[in-house]
Amino acid sequence: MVRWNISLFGSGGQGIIRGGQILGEAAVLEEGKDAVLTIAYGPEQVGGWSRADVVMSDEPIDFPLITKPDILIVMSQEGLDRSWKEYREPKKLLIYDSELVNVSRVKEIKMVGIPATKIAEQLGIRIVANIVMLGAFSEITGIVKRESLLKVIGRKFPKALELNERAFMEGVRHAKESMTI
Amino acid sequence: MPKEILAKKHPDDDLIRVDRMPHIWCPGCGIGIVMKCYIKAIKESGIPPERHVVVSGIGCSSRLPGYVNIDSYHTTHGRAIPFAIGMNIVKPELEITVIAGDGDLITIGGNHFIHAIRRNHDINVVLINNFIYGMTGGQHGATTPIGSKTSSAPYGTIDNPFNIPLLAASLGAPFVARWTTFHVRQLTDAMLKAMKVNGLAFIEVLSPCPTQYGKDNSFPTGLDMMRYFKKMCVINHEADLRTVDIDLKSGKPIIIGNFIHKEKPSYNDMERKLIEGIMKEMKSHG
Amino acid sequence: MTERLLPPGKYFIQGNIACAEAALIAGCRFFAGYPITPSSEILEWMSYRLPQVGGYFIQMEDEIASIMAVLGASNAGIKSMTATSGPGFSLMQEGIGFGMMTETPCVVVNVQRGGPSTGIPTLVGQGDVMQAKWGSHGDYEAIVYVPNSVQEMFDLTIKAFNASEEYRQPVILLADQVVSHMYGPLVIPPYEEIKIVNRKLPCVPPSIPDFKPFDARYEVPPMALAGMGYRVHVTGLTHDERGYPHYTHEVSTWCVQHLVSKVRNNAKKIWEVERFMLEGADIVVITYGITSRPSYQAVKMARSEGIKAGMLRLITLWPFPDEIVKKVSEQAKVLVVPEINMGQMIHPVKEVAECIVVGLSWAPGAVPTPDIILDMIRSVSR
Repeated sequence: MVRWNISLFGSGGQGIIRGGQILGEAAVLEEGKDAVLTIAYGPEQVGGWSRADVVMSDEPIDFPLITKPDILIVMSQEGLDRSWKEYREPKKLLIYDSELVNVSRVKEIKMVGIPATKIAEQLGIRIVANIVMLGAFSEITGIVKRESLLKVIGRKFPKALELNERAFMEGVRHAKESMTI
Repeated sequence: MPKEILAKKHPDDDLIRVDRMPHIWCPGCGIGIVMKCYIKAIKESGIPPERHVVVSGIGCSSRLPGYVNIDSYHTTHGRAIPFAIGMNIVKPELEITVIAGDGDLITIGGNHFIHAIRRNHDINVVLINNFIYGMTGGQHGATTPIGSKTSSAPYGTIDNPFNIPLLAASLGAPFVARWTTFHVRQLTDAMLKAMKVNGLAFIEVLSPCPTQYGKDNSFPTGLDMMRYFKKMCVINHEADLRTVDIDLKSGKPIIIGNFIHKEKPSYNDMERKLIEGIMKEMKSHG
Repeated sequence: MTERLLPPGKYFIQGNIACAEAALIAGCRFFAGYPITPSSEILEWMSYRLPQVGGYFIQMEDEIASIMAVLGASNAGIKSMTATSGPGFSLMQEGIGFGMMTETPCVVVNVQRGGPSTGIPTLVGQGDVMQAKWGSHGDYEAIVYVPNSVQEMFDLTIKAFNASEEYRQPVILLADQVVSHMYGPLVIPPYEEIKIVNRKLPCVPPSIPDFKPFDARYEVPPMALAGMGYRVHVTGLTHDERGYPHYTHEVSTWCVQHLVSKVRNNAKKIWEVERFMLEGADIVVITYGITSRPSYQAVKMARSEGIKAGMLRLITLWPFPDEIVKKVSEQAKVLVVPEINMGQMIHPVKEVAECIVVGLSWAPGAVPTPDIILDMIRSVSR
């Protein structure tokens, strides 16, 4: 049984939960996997920390929660610091927003930095940074296929489809570059 | 022999659960009079009895529905109004009247009372105010006049009672009235008006409780309080409701009347409009 | 009016939303509630969806009003529901008792959070399992379903409605914060494959003399609704078949026996369990709700270590499947009862068990991990 524990961590407003929903939905509806999303956030109504834990597996998932992620996607410094403080550092891979997160404390973990927020700003709108990250995630790990994620994105954002597809593909492109270096 | 002068059938028998007689009320109690008025109002309302529903809470007054031969719901203490609201929302064609006591509707149930008036549900609320908790043995409540002796205030009450018509009016009730068990015709008439009101119609009925309130507060029999009502009541439909608080000791007149009677959209109207809008929107979006 | 219901198919959806959509498919057309974490999504979703399907939603002033409005609507013949969490569930208890006494169908969803009192509003708990059975005063037999997945939030909501209609009483869906907030797969089968039960209505005309709304000839009497013309009297007082209050031991005996026996006589039909790796199991984890999820994994891990472990999951906590637990205990050496409370369901388990019973009490705020349950299995296996 292959089980992946994927944690997305950032701030309210960065689309962390939405990113988790897209991952889970792509796994369940497009790839026939089992997936569970659990969410957690700070007590602040606006601007607090926000975490989406996605467990996915080819077989039915027993325990739906994540004690330690295999892959951590962080989009804010607090996301990284909190993960380490709570002993939730990733076992296999860290993907981080290279413009927003200082990773000097991270040791002996494979890391890929993606300037997701900067890319999104260049596309004209910050809120697609989460989609950039999903593109990068798909390219780096292959756990959820590019087409699967794009299908879900198409369903979720029919009115801003082109923008989101571009954001996703920018993430793919940056991931390719950073992996060849 | 008494048998010879007893009628075989009372004209209201079809609306009374005769098989439940005798009732539990004490000699001199006013609740039976309210029941008679309600039955008369049902008959004169033009609405068939099958469409009338009476809902109550707990207490002497709340036993009234159990004796009326229509769909009758005797719910929990203080919660008649929300029960009636649920029924009214899903079956607005029912003519629902909540009849319960002061302790039930305005003391333990005060929160539901104010919110029901605020939202203006299309129900009638008849509050029988006998100034006391009768069934539990004469403890004071939120309507007991200050200075009254009660079984839980042997030295006299020190807390102010509600001015209920003022409270109801302040919340925007489209119909607010106060009558007493002495004013039988006016009370029946107010109930009939209430049944026609679109929204929450509120009637306070002052009623004697010689057993639990009167005995320690200078109204030893039901008749004593009825005489007091006769002597002290002043009908003033236009009364300034800030002045209608009740004091049974100082010789202050008791102001009664149909204080407020106005048009106002009910909760049901607002909901119907909302749903129509949603349906329209959905149709236009396929 | 199925066109506005969630169509059959596969979804990735939140537990609370699955519950709300299931209620609509079950025929629920009235919801009254009061916001409380972690159940508010059900209230919010119903406020959005009910008007679309011809139903009614109202946000009441508190949970007491909510349960009473639900009972009022149900007595007018509309399937009704409310949803709440710990503190609100406590406030609803008197109304639930009134629903039991007056035999009024409805569904009460309690999304458990950490307690007691305000506790941990945003985190998980299982501390209401006894309250769900004994919460209101006096004798009645609760029917309580406990989901452990998004799919079961859907399936068991429909079953809860069906049981409430069949047995004419409030039925409780006892969820928890994790299952309610979790997103997961949901498969909605074709509607014709979903069993929907509707309450029986009287088959005699209202004009018959001496109509008895609580006719003792029936195990569950047909329900005469407000406005049908039967002129019912419905009271929370101990009452006879006619619905009239009585103060005699004789009537009380009939009344409470009727209330409990309609469930007790059908307990085997109502109760549901899941058996997991029970073949030859010496150590059986008795579990329910979210705690079953780490338990599956712990049992598998124990088996891989050579420990003969198994699991029995209670899908209905009440009626308690005593015969099944007893039977399992006869073949086992130890029963382990992990729960996110300080030891509640362990008591009915102990009452029937023929072997040693060990509790794993876990404070609210987190779900025990598979390792913790595995450690317990290991320690009792020695």
